[in-house]
Amino acid sequence: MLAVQNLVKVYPGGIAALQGVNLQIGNGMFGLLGPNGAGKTTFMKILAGLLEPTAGQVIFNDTNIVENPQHIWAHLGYLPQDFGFYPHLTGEEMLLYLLKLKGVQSENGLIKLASELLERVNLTFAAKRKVKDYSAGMRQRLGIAQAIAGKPPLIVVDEPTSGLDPEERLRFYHLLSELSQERTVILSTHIVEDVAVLCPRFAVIFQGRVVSETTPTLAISELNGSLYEGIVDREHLAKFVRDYFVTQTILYEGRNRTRIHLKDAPAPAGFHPVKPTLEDAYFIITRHAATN
Amino acid sequence: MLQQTDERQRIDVARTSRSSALSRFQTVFSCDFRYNAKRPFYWIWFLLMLWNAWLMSMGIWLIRSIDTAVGTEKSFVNSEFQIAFVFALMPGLMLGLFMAIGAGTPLIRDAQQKVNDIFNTTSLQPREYVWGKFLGAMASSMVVIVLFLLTLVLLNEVVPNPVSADIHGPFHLRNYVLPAFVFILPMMFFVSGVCFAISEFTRKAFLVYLFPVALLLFIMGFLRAWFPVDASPGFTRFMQFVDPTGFRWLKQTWLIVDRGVAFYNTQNIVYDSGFLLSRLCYVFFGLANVEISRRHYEKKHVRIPDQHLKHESGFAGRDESRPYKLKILVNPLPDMLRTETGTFSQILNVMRLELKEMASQPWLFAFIAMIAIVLVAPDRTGEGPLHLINIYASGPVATSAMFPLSIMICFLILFTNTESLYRETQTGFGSIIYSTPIRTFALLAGKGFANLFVAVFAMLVSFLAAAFMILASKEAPLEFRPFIQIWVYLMFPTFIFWTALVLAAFSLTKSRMSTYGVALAFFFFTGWGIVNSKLNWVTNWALVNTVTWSDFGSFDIDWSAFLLNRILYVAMGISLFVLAVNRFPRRSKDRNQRGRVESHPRLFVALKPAFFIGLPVLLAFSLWLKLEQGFQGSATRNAEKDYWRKNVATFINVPLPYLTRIDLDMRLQPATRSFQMQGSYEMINRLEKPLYRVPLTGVGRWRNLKWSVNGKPYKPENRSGMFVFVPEPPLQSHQTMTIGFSYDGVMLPGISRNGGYLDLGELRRDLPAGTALTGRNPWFVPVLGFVGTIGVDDQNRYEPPDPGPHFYEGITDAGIDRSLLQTRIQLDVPEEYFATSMGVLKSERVSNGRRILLWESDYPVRVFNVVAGKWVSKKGQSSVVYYNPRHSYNIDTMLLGLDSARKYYSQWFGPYVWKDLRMNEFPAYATYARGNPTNIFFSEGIGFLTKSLDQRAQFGLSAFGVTAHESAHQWWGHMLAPGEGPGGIVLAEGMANFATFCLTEQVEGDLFRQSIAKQIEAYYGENRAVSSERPLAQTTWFRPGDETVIYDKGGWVFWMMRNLLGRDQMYAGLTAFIKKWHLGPDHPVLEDFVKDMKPYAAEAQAYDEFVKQWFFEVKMPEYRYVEKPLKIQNGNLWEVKTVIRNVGNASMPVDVAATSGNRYEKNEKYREARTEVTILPGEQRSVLLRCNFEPSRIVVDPDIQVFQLQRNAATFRFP
Repeated sequence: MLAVQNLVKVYPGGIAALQGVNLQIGNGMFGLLGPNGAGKTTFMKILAGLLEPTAGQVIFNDTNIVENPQHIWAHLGYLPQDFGFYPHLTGEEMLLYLLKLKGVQSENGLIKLASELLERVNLTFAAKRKVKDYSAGMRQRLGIAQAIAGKPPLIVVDEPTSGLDPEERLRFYHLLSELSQERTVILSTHIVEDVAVLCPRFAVIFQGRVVSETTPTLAISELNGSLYEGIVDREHLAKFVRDYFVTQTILYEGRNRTRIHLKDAPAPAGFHPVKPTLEDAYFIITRHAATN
Repeated sequence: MLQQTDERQRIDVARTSRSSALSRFQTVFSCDFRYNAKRPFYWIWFLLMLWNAWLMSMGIWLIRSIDTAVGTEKSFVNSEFQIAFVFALMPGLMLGLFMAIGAGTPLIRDAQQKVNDIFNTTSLQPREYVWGKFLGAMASSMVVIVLFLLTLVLLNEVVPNPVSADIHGPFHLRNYVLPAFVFILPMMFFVSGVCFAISEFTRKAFLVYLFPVALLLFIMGFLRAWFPVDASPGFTRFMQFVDPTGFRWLKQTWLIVDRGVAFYNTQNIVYDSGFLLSRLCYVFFGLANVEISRRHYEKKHVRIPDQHLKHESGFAGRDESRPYKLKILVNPLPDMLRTETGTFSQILNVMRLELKEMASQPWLFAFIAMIAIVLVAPDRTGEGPLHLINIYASGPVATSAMFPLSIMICFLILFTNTESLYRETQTGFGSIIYSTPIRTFALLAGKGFANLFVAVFAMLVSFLAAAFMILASKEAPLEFRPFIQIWVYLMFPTFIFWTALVLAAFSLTKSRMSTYGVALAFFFFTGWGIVNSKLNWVTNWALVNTVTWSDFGSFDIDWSAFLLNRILYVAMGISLFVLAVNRFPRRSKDRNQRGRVESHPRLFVALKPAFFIGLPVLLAFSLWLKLEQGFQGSATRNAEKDYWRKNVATFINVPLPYLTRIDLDMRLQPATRSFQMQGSYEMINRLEKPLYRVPLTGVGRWRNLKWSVNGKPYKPENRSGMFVFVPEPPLQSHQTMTIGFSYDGVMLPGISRNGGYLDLGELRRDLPAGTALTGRNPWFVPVLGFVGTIGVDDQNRYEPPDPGPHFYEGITDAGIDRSLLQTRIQLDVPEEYFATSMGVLKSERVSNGRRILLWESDYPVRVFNVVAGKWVSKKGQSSVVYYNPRHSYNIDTMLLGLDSARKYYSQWFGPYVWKDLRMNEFPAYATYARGNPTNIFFSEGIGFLTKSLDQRAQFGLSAFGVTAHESAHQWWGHMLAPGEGPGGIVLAEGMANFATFCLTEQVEGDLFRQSIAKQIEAYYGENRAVSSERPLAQTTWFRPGDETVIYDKGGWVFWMMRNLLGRDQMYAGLTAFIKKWHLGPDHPVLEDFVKDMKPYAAEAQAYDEFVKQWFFEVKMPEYRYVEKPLKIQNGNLWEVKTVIRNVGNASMPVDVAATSGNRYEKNEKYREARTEVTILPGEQRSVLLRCNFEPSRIVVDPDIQVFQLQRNAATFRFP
């Protein structure tokens, strides 16, 4: 169980990246969804013990890791948003080094283990290649391999699917979902689909605050019957946005396909009810948070 | 119209394009310039330059070691020459790394920050980008230099320090601007341009840093130090050209022959066009490197070319991931578990990776090889004391390489450690590794140990290079002990400390550049401490200049200081490491005060570092206490100052009796540096008046001291080491008295101030390594009268009294050793030692582990000594040498010198009055010799370890020459005691050099004599101080430059006198002179000498002119070719024509010769045709020579018979 209590982080210059975050995260996958600059990476770094918060506590296994970050490092698999490896080492060498640093052991030996981990992330073919010759996606997969090494009880992944193609992303979804059965996996992302696919529970963070903590099902069900879609001409779009709660608008064949959220009000002409998606729920939550 | 419109549009487009290009360039330039202005690196540099400006304004940097504390004319610190001197040295020694880092990192930084891809997709052109980056960095460096100049002007001209007001001359802007343009600017462009190119071509920061270090090695080991006497003008010019600092040109053109303070203070530097052209070349070379970088950038980094790489097997240029198939993983993860790894294991893991990373960098190995080759491999011996060059032996090699090797390895550690730490940030790997369980301690320790391993590797490679050179030279056997003792035990703790310092600097500053800035500042302050002798055992972290190697035993004096110092710096290293671990930026700290999370109570946080600081502080304090209580500490200094203050006014010129006999019983304990003394002095009053007081100086802090007078116990007044005896009744004229004494003494108690060469004046060593003590030493025995060197330092040093004209008329006492006495000295030493003293050995017995020897003088002497060592001995025909059994290299040569001296000096100067002549070797803690009567002692660093005659024939003095010099003192110094007063000492030292010339000519041949003479002449030219030099007859050995006048000019003048008088007449005169003055009581000075020698001259007028010019004036001839010599073939004959001018102020008849072949090479046929000319000062003479061979050179004074300045300029080599 991971308990985050009143976590605050203010950067020099008065930038409040986190403004009192409270979360209780149990076993399984937990998503942290939010736009760029919401404070997700700041939050993840604090969880990873790499950033000291201004205030608050993070309790993991009855230990406050804000005061004792070394406690979390022994139980953590971390994939940062922005990271690199030593370019002159091969993927296998890099992974072996990290296995040793993490104190990972295997009955079959570390080399075999490294090989298996690379196979899990589909990097067997590049095991002997220097990291400097890896593509961005390959580096990401290597990062995933090191994050899961040693079966850590807590895995923190920050924007893990950036740089992955759809196939790789699918593989990663599968891997993470299997992993989350027995441990806590915290996934931070701005891609709604990641949360929709993987996370039974998630929180939306916006401007340093948790503005919603819910499940995808619940978030969607709350919008049942209140979401409408229709076409709006370009010249009327601006007024339309002022008059209605527009969640999305996409230019399609020269006309704007627009979705609006309406509660207890008749839909405008030409609009028909649609099934809400998690994306709609996210936009509505964040728009409400911005308004408030 | 349309055409005009099109044309206007084209012009407008072009103008817009140009202005846009300029705008883009300005954007890049100003962005970098503004960025640099905020970086701590540049601020650290600026502050160092400020400090340097202050040092310059205080006169810390001076062209010459002119004693500006005494009333000589003083160098102006704001003269063009003075400023140019510093500006020529400054870039290479101090600024190189700063300039390299400043110019060599912008491109690398951009590449690391991955901004180039974005830049390259804008309108920014490579030319604008590259030049903008370079000029931005240069502008930042320029700002630092300009601010430095402005500060210097401010401190020199506007607000000079009132303490140093008299070293500031009138203000001339040129004095600052021209040296800056000529010396600093080209070096800046050169270093910056090359480093910029290195950064572009390699993108390796390490290589950028290596360049200035390599340049520094080149400058220190070669350009600054190597000025071969026999270099041809073409070679000299070439070497000046390849010197990017300009220092060689400045020194060889203007400084190598001192032109006097007045000249340097008032004259401007005349820069010859060739030199200025070379400076421009360095500027262009630097700029060319930037342009080449631009082209490379354009070619390689704007649009990365297809390189047609051979694809690895299975890789077709695409990711070969298989199409995904969904499968249910029973076990999504392999079997694995996490365990807690031990710290040691973590350290090893990090270490292995770091070593692997380093092994993949070939330039690291190249740098290490370069260190080994430059520092160790060449002839490391160099020219040492008495112009000698020593053999390539393990001890001296290990010692001399210690400091430069330490500094180079420290540079290496700085680079590798800093780059290793920065790598985590640069690659982005930090986020991952810092979130693993590895302890910060293990991470830093692993990196630190890996870098220390590099240091060990560098030492090993250097050792292999040194070993190879030692074995290849076949001069001495290879010994491991010096390398282990010095390089392992002494140097390695330096690297531990330094590694920890770098780690701590990085942890505290969190910046690569700031770490370099801090480290360079540390180097700078250390360098300042070295130059100004401010280092001591507490502050000397690199043990600079602390080790003097002796095969007798190197650490006898300061072994405890070495031990404490090394423990201190290891402890400091540990403390710094703890600081590094505590402050390492693994986890970004929150800077807000409100709500700060504290993991530990404040008290604990405060106390934790105190615990680690405590031990180093305690050690430092202990060492400091030991130092202050030692023989160079404040306790001793204060006691000696007390002696001086209490006694100088009263006893400096007090009338004294003369010793007639000394009787000593000494028991030496070298292991504890102690001795027990029992003895007596018999003395006589030779004055007409009674003596009411007899003062004896004894400052050895003796214990159990007892005195007696004429056998009765006596307690004299003790005036801080001056013991005043008041005989009752007073000592009447020609009456004698005997003062007896007994005491226990310790020589050199405690530790020194900073080890190394101990300039203690008269020898006082009683060590396990060996004993060397003389009767002039008041720490050893009571010395009659006031000893004017005790308690004297820079604050109270005074010139000897000027006795005025005709001081020598009447009775002149001897300058030193005024008494002629008999000695009886019994020495009781441990059995493994042998001890010698004056005269002949009367008895020797060994019992109970002790050896007791009785020495008695067989003829009166003027000084006595005691020398002991674990020796073997070898006898010559009429002499014997006692030496370290490992130093047999030159024994036969020294015996030859001793025997030849006895034979020929007896013929030339009069019979040798004693029976025995011995030479004894003592440890190299001092590097001089004493030609005491019958019992000469030599430092092992002189003569015993000198290169052999054959090896050094063309390079000057050998063991033979030094032996000849010291043997000559038997006559010149002891049989003939020079009088007290100006010029007297020349009759000892100058004559000894002259005797060396004569003996070398006699035994080894004139070519060897010529070689020595040239070397000595060059040394005089380089070391004389024109502004303060006095005529030979007025020189007192007080002012800087006096020593070379006394020794070198003196020897040369007597040699020229021999040429004037003729050999036989000269020797006849000298024999008569010694016979006349031998027993005193009147003692001669140079006025007496020239008067006594005149009857031996064939032409009185020529003699008088010679004497006036060389003894009573300061004049030197100097010859130049006014017209380039021509050689014309006429049938079988050749004619050589030239015009020679005497640009000096002295005149001598001199030969001019056309020559072919090298007379010093055995296999070359030497031929010459010559004529004699006499060219008055300022005049010139046409010379025509006819020869029946084709000449290759024309030489003024081919036989090295006329003392002159800049001899090389008077040799012309035909192309």
